[in-house]
Amino acid sequence: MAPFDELQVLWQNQPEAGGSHFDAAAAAGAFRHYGRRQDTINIAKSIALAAITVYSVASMRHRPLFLFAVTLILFSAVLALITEWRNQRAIASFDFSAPSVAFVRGAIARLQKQRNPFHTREFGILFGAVFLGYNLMVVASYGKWTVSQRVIGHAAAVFLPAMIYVFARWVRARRWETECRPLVERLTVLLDTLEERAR
Amino acid sequence: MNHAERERLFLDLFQQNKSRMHRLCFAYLNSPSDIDDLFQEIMTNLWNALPSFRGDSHPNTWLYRIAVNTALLYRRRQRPSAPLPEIEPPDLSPSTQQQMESAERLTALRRAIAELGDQDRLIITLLLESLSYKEIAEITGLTVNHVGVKISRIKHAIEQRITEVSHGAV
Repeated sequence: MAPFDELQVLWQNQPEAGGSHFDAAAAAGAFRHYGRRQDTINIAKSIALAAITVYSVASMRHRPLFLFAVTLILFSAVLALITEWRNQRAIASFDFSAPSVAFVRGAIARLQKQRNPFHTREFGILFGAVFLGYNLMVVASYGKWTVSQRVIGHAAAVFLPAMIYVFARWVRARRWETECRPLVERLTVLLDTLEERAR
Repeated sequence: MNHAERERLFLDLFQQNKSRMHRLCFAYLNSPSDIDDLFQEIMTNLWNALPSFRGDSHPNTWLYRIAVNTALLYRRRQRPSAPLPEIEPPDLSPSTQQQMESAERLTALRRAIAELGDQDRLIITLLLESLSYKEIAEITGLTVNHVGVKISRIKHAIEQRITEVSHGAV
């Protein structure tokens, strides 16, 4: 008969499963750093949006259609900013103290999405609002423009959002390389370890 | 309970019970990834349940209740009718004869626990964690006397099973 006390000691001293050798504190620190950087960028964006709002209201209060177009763009920009900020805060607060394969895979997927976050409903609304807003601004300026100027104005209003999109994609790709790639590489190592243990 | 209190209580419980919760997961699952997933789920449920903690019982006892319920639900959800997984030997890096024997004995113990029913498995796991009969009764919802009777029977079954394994009578 095995003495039960001995089994108790054996049970309590058994090694833990899972990613216990992963440096959770270092990972948490890296993600906090990511979060702080995103906070700084988003605060700067908020200040810029606030400044544009104040300027628009002050200078265009006698041009209702123009003001409406700017307001449309600003509202959708604020919506996109809030959504993205919340998403980035959620990423920054990931808890890696007891990581699982599914959790790490999910974390990597969310970081990968940061490479091109524009395929969301909020950014769709923003691009639509920019497109509509610019065209409304052109319409608001019809009074002092010739027909050819109006056509050029509308062409620019179509072309400009497309250019903004391409530029934003380029900026995001560069930011992803510096902000997210190191985190993804760190998590990929952890994922490999966890999957290896699961085999 | 405000956010700071909730966070402090969570961290306290996490630090104090991390190893115990891992071992509890061992009693219900065997695959490391499943154990990690279950552990994560227990901690998530703990966090979500913290605002409803009124302090009627000891926090550790309360945590055990959450962990046990989560483990039972997890196993039912994962493999509703599948047999228990094959037990892998624990990684004890056996460099000496004594360590090898310990590893074999721990494997036999885990296998014996895996053969028990859910309630017996829970009771023996709590006993192996050195919880008192009263605490086990609180967690399982049984009377202290009933716990005592069950423990006596489970201990006998476990020890017999381990003896059978050590004598090659599997």
